[in-house]
Amino acid sequence: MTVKKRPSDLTSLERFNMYYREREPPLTAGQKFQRFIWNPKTRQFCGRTGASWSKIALFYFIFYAALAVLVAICMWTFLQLLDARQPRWQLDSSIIGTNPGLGFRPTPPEVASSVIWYKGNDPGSYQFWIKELSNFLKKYKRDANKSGAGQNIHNCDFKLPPPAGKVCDVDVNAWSPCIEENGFAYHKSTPCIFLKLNKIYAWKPEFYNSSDHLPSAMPEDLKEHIRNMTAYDKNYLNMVWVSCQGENPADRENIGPIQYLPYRGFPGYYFPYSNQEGYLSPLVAVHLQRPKTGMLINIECRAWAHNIKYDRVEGIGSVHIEIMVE
Amino acid sequence: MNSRTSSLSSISDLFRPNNPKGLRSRDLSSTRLSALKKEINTDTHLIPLKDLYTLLGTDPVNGLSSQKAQELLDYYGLNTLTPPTHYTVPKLLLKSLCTGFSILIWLGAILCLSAYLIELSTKPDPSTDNLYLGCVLIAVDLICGIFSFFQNYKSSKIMKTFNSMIPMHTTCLRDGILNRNTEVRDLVKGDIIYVEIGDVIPADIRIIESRGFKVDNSSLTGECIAVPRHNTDGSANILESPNVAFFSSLCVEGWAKGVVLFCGDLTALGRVAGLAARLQPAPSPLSREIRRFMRCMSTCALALGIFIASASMILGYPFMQTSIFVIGIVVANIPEGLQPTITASLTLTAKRMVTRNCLVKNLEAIEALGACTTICSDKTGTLTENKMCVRHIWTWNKTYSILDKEFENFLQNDQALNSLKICGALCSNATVVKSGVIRGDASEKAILNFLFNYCDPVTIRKRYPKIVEIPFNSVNKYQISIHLNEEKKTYLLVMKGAPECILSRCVTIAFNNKSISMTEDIKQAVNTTTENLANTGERILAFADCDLDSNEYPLNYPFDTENPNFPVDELRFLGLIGLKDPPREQVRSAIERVRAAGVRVMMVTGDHPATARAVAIEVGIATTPSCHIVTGTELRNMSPDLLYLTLAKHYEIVFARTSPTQKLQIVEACQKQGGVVAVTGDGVNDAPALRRADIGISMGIAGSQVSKQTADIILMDDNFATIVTGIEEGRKIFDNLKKSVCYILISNVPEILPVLMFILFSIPLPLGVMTILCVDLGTDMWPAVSLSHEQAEQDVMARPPRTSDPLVSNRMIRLVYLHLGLIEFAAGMFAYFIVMAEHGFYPSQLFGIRQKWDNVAVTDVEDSLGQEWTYAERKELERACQATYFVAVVVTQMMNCIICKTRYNSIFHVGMKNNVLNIGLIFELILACMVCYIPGVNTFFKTYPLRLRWWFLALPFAALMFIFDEFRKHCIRNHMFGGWFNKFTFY
Repeated sequence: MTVKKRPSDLTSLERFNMYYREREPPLTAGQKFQRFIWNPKTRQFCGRTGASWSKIALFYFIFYAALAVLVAICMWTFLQLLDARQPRWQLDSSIIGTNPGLGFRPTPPEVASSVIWYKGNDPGSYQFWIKELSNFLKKYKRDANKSGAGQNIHNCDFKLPPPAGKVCDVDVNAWSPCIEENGFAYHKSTPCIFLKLNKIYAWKPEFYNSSDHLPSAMPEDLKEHIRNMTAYDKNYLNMVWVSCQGENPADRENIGPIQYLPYRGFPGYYFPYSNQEGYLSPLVAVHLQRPKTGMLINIECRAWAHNIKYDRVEGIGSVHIEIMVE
Repeated sequence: MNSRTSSLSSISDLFRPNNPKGLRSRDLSSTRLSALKKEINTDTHLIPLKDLYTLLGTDPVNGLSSQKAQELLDYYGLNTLTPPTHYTVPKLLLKSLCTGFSILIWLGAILCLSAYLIELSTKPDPSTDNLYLGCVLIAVDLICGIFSFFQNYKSSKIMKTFNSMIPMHTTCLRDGILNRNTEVRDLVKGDIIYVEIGDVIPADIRIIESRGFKVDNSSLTGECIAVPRHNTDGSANILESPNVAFFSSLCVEGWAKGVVLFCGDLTALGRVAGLAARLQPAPSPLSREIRRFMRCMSTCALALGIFIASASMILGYPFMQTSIFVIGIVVANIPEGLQPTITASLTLTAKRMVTRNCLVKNLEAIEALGACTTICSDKTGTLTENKMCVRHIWTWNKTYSILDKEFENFLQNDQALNSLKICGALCSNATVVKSGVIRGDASEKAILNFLFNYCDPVTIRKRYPKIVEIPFNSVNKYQISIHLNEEKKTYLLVMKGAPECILSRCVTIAFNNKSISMTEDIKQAVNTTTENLANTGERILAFADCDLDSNEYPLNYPFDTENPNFPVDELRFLGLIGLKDPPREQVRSAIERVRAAGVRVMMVTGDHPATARAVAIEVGIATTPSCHIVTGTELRNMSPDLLYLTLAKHYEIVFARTSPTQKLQIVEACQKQGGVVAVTGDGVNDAPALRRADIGISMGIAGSQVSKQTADIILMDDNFATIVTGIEEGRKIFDNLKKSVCYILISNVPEILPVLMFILFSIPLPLGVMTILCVDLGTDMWPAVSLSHEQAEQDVMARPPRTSDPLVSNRMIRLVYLHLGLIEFAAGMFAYFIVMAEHGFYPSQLFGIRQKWDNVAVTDVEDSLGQEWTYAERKELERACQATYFVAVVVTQMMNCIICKTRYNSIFHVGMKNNVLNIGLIFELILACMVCYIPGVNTFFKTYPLRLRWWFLALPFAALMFIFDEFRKHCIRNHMFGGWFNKFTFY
């Protein structure tokens, strides 16, 4: 560190030089700026010479390269440690937990909205919803000719769960009339809504597979259905049941009869999900057969299994849909 | 004369109580201040008394009429000191709430609250996140604001202290009636007043009549010497005029009758008080720098915020989303912890200084002391002890120095010296109180103190009881007393006084055991000695005696002091005693060290030039006897430019005979040169300079109340050497503050960039605003403050004071934003991506996911492994990732703290000896754990109880930081790559 000389320490020559050094003419702000950008005298660009700039560039190149390499090495190492087919953390040890969420299609275009709204007599207004659904269901229309994914498909039944590594087929035609060819019945003011259960790796539902001990909160019609099913075929009870109903008494009146297709729930043979090639989530088409027009109807759909918890406020185990047909 | 009178009347108008010119109170205050800065310009002490009476409309015999007095009182106001108009408390509070980063934080809080209100009005159950965040931001702002408010707000007690110097009652002549109990505040110009011994003079008065009247003007000159005042012609400078006595001076002898020239604020003391109370000290270098830096940061933050806001508005984001962007950017850009850290560091240093007998009243003064380039020191009481001491004795052609080791031998053997001792003990009005304390005049005290070392003046006095005396007066300039020699039953006449006066009355001179007659040669020798000693700043007293013939003056001879019937001529000359106010012991070495540290020391004193020069040479302020001396009179005639040039031309300057206002001018001239000025002083007269200086230093023991009240630093033991410690501590704390600021700023980078990533790449937000506050005001705080406990890396006293070395330099910014900060950011992002990947979201999946991710209505966001996540699950994952990012920042910051311990040396060389810092690191870790694991706390701060393995993700990056920085410091130490690192990153 050099000690700054005070004036009294300077020699007379130094003082002379100090007082009579070449004075530069004062520059305007614009000139100063121009001088800063490119100084022809010192050949400096932005206050530095080319050599200085290239040194800086070299240094930062090396430094950032080293940093990038470190990040890449760390990332690569850690990702290598992970299994590409299954998550590192599953079920309860993962944050995703064991409570699959219920979702619906078509999704409204507005952010954070769950309102399906259209005019029954205006094809333009429901075209959006049909397109939305077609897009969503595209992957369900498997091309039989196409190889690859098709090989995995297994025609499952309640008595015939898929073997390991195979996936169950989802039959698009079983949703009729909620099919694309029919415009998902939107034009008749009887819209279809598709419900889906979130995929959680290795999650197995615990079914309500007996008509006894059904929870009191379960709607009567579902209880009735389960009782009927018990009488019909016990295999059909291995199902994650679904119920949809109006949220308020008024909604319950407005909603009209509801049809669930192909079953009243998600068949058990689709579970557990284990990231199989070509796996498709089971869907339930909810067909509102006679919704009251010109009214906003709040619908709450709920999935039923012993290990699906329900909290209306948090929206756990259920989904909230608003629909309005004019 | 007319112009003078008009300027006089205009300044007196300014101080009238009912705001004469209709100015706003702040303007009035500043106008008053600029009026006070001018020297007193008057001729009321020069014109004949008769003219003065006419001018003031008074009469020396009857005084003012009560009616006229009342009129004047109503017009000019009371004879008191007017306190300045200050910012009121709420105004000041508001100001401290809206300075620096506060405005931006308020902006953030308002955005948060309005976002919450919008949500409240549109949604049935809005999330309270924004409400909480807004409240937290407001709390941060309030706490910081109140913090700085208490630091800034010091109730001004200066005026109160001044007012306590004023007496309550005085004797005043009005309507021809003498009233002994006139209230001092009722005095007006033209009043005739009487003062006697023990009184404090109630206004500036011109003496009409006096007898033996002496005043102690120490409040104006700083010299504790009783000076005589009587009715003679005045000198041009009213402060030195012998016919004027000033407000607050103490009458130590005699009595006087005088006419009041000035009252209240217009008196000499009133001006000093007005200046001291009204002057605003220049902002300290540190606060200037912090303010500049804060302005830079705020502008950056605001510009970035506005850019982001407009961009996102143009891109069509809703208000809610935009406000989240802006809040994130603003909060991340501001180093909220900076101000508290600096305050805490300075407070700790101040506490440490107290143990070294240095009381710091204004925290920033410590750092300013380190940056100080000039010290203007008062002489009396600061450099010297303000206590007269005998230094030299001259008898018959020989000068003895008291400090000489053989002096005691001389004293034993020499008969002449014995006579001198007796004379010194007898011819004195000082009295010895029982416990050995001596009361009386400063020089007599000094002589008695000196005699106590060699003989017992008390027994001498018993042997020679005093018969009569003629006290000292300014006309005679000597003092005579006659004592009875109880052994021989003869009378002894002793005399003391100014050398020339005594010498002319002597015919013989004591030489060993006999007396020889006085010759011209001897007289010449005496005069030379007197001159020599006077040149070294000593005050000389001459002594003479005469044994009265017992025949001529038998016992019980009626001595008459009015018309002396005893010889006052033809005496025997005994010798001279040189008295001096000696410099304090440690001053010389302290000044040497201060000068070695590149700090210029100047003397600014109210004392005589010769004395000032002598002391300056003795203490090392001046190294050559020909040092430049500027007297107050010269200073009066100097233009500001000339003063500026003089300061630039001469390195060693002594200012003598300066008035309080001139002291202030000198300080301001030094500050104009760009210097950081420290003023040391102890008297009332130093108050304005102390106040204006960057660092005002007062003496704790000898200092007056006023000087202590105005000072920033008080030396409790009056030890000048403490200033050296102060400079050292100041420089150390500045170096350490650099480290603290560097440490704090580095965590800014991993706070800003996630928000940019969030906006640019649409990934889920890697670091929440709450967590940013957690880092800035939580985990970073203790380690940042603990850096102030680091030892100095180099010898701080070996370098000159910093002039162009800012707290936050470009090099530091480069190092922080382009190097170390980026490593921390990489560590954080890496940890974030790993946690995401472990849950199924691979990095490739994350880019562009935000739209779906932050949409409450989307219940199924698919990850790379086909799992579908509901909104609540996603948000929980986001919290976990943010917590991991937070932990990565904490871990790298811990390493960073170790890195910041040194700027130059290797860590291996310095070691981890700073236990405060070590505990700070542990505290940081514990705090991070608490934030993550305590239920409730983690929901509030949006963190997540992390798995143990996630704590270690940042370690490779911490190692990289360490290696990089050690390498950098290695290069700096060895000047490698042509000093490239030194130029580029050595902050």
